[in-house]
Amino acid sequence: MVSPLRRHCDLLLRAYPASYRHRRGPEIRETLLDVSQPGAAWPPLGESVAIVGAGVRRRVGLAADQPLGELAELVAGWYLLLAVTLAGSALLLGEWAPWVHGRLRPPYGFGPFATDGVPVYALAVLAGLAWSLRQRGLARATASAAFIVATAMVVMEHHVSFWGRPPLSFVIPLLACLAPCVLRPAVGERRRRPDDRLIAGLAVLSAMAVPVWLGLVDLYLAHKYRYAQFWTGRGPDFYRLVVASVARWVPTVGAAALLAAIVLVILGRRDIAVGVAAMMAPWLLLAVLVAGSLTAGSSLSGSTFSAIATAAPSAALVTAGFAALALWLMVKRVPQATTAVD
Amino acid sequence: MYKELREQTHLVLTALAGGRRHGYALIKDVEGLSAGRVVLRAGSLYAMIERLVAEGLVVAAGEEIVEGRLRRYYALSDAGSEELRAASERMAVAARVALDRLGVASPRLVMRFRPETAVAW
Repeated sequence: MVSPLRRHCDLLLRAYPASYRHRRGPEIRETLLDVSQPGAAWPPLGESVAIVGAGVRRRVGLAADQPLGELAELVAGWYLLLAVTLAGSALLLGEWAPWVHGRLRPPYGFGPFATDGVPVYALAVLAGLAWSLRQRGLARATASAAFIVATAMVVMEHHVSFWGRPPLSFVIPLLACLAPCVLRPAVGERRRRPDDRLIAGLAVLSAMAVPVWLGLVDLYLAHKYRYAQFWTGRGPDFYRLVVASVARWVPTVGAAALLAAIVLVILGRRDIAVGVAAMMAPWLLLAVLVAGSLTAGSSLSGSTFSAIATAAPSAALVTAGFAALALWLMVKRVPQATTAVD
Repeated sequence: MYKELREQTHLVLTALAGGRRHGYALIKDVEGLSAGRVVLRAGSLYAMIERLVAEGLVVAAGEEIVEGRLRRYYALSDAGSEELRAASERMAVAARVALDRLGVASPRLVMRFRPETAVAW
């Protein structure tokens, strides 16, 4: 006759993957029985939560007392998956689809593609491919190249404007998703080479300086516009303007958060930087969704909208799941890091 | 070159320095060593053991069935003993310097304090 307590312990242990349960399950169950009150039907609540947490962490490939480097590795991997989802669907559905290309008139477009965002998307997909082949250095180099090309693209568009570029509200979240891959501390190395970190930091900074500047210009224009027409009517256009004003700022907030993360990395506070990067996730998602809804009625960016609408559900799942996990890990880490001996 | 040892890891290795232990004994020992400040959860403990075994600091040290209950024991490896010794010496030196600078007179500590060790630290 199996006691209810023993049965419930076995139930909790199902949080672990089967192979691990087979290896360590019996001794963990015995320890759970030891720490439980005699006659209780369940182990103490804290123990139950810890068992489920440890099991889930093991299932997603994290040990319970994960060193920061490996956590950053996980962060980079998740974000890269999101970047590849966004870039891949932009390539296939936004840039390449015949029905999108058919809408472009001759002076516009980038070869067979809709905009000159193609190299950036391709580099993002290549970075994801290199990562999946465990070529971490190559993935970092490719992701850094995406930052540099994106910067060149934005700057060039101000002078050579006939290609047409994808909206910044799409490119910035994409670049931000690549950033953890560029900036992550390498696992197993005591310290990355300073020149390596400097180059990566400069690439990200140069890419992010542009949207921050454009955000400031936006603020100036919105300020002017508000005094001219903002209060004259409250029809649909009014609310559209309000949403548009917020939407323009969301990528800027994301970029500012990323800059903060970079500064923290340079100052050596990588633990906080990982937290900042994790907290950006909902903002990035919001930026993508709001940008998508705003461009829905616009004839200018229909191709981008189709890409965003396709990518949004998977992006939502990946981002929300990751953000919850990362924040939980960060909160849980703090009380453990009480003593560190150099 | 030694890695950082977190407090929980240090306490578990210290508990094992007193001889082989099974999971529940480790939890109770760590609680006692830390005067009740650190209470390990079973989930955290076994994740830590998994890591320490993988790093070669701890080894499995046999199984027994006691009153129908499985007991799997763990012990310090030679590398684990060395790691614990090195980390503890670093902590002791750091503590001595801190107490000295605070002007806290602990006769035993003051007697042992050697300035040349502090310079090395």
